[in-house]
Amino acid sequence: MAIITISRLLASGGEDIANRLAKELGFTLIDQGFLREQFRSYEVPGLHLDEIDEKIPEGIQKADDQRRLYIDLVRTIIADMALERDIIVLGRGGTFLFKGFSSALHIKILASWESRIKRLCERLNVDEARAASLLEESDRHRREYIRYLYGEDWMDFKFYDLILNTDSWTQESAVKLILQATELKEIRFKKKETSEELEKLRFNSKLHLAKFLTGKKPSHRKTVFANPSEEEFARLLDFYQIRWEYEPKTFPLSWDEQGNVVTAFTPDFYLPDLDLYIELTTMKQQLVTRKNRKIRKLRELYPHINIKIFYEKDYQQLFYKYGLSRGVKKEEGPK
Amino acid sequence: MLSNDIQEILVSTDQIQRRVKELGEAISRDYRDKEPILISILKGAVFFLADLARAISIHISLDFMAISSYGDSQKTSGVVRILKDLDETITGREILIVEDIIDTGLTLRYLLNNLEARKPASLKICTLLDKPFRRIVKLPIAYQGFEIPDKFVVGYGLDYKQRYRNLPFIGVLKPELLEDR
Repeated sequence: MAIITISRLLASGGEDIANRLAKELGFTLIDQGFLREQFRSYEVPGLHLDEIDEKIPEGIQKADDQRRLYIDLVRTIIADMALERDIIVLGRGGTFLFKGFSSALHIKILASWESRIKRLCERLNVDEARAASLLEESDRHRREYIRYLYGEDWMDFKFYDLILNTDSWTQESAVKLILQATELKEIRFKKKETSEELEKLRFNSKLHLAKFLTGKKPSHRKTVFANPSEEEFARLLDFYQIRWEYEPKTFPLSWDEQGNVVTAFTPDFYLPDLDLYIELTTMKQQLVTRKNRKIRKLRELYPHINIKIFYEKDYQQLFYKYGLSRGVKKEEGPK
Repeated sequence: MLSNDIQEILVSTDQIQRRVKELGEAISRDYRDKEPILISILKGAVFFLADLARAISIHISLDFMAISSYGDSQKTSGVVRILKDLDETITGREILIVEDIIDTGLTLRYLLNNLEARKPASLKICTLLDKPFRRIVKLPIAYQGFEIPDKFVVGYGLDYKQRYRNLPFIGVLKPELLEDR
């Protein structure tokens, strides 16, 4: 029922402290290995743990789905666990998962740059320059990861109850300090409130999971694009974390006497967050004229639809802007 | 000569100087009892920022961000990420983002989302050039230097393959210098 979360800088000694603390207190340690085992038994279709666990996935359409699945699944698993026993969550954004919980103690473990370098050099048998680059990369990565998952700043100290600098404390004394904090915050004596908070967390997470898994098409499917410029454009949107759908809707434009649709138009992309359709056209002027006519008709019949057309010139300029050496000049047939 | 590569001058040095002065006065007036942080995106906007900051007559501070470019993503793949974050925290502060140009709005949308999460007191945009023709993301622009037509422009910070940033005006590059034309 009691929850301790430990967020640590790489090579600050946080893992060792978490392990010792788990033994001293008899708490279950939830770390990467533990979660991976649990993930297997949950068998959630569409979740690729290797793409998400402490990484930011590539491609935001996939990423958004993965993020929701990941957060809900981690919440479900840890809430399940915490309802039965006392736990220590090492990393995995535990601080933010249990933010505001009355029975949670949030610890940050850090150390000076110099001592982290020294520790990493010894642990990995690398030189100081390599250790410094690994530390920089890890700090930046962990910060970005928490911002990506929870929108919070990992190094904002207001989220932590206790911040320990392992330059000042031995492992043994750090563990003792945390034990004292555990007693003083009385996290083991708030069973009723904790159980209610955990039940709520678990219920909401399971509900999200169920809704997600039953109500949505798997969006990680491989989209087949009609031409390379569309694929490139989708990559650009992914890069800027704009969700997109490819040709999700066809708009009828004219009908025969029996009411059958004679002409219709399917814009290439729909951007749900911006409520905007986008049509890319990299074709001959003669065909553009025909397409422009269709788009004019679309605007007349469906005035509430927002649609933007990117002509070949626009498209090429977009790519000059990014310093890419090629424009896409592939011709396509009429739509 | 660098300027030989330019087909036409779209915004002259004089026009830029006059408009930057006006923008500086407007910002000084609007933020008169405040001390905003001007946040500029490396690299293009630094030219504009340097001139704008000197046209502002109230206390301000400056900070910089750099984010990865889609152009580089061809080598590294992945999503946009912060290459250089702000040095200062911005919670509770008045923030003015200073941009050289807003085209599709994709970069700025990412930045606005990122900065909004840090809970500043206010978050406004000042751009020297606004090119609305290809706008994908609608953005509230508080201060705008010039609205420009749908042309590929360089100079005063704007580049083509890292060149032409040091031109003192905004110009249109000769089309034959753009590859694949």
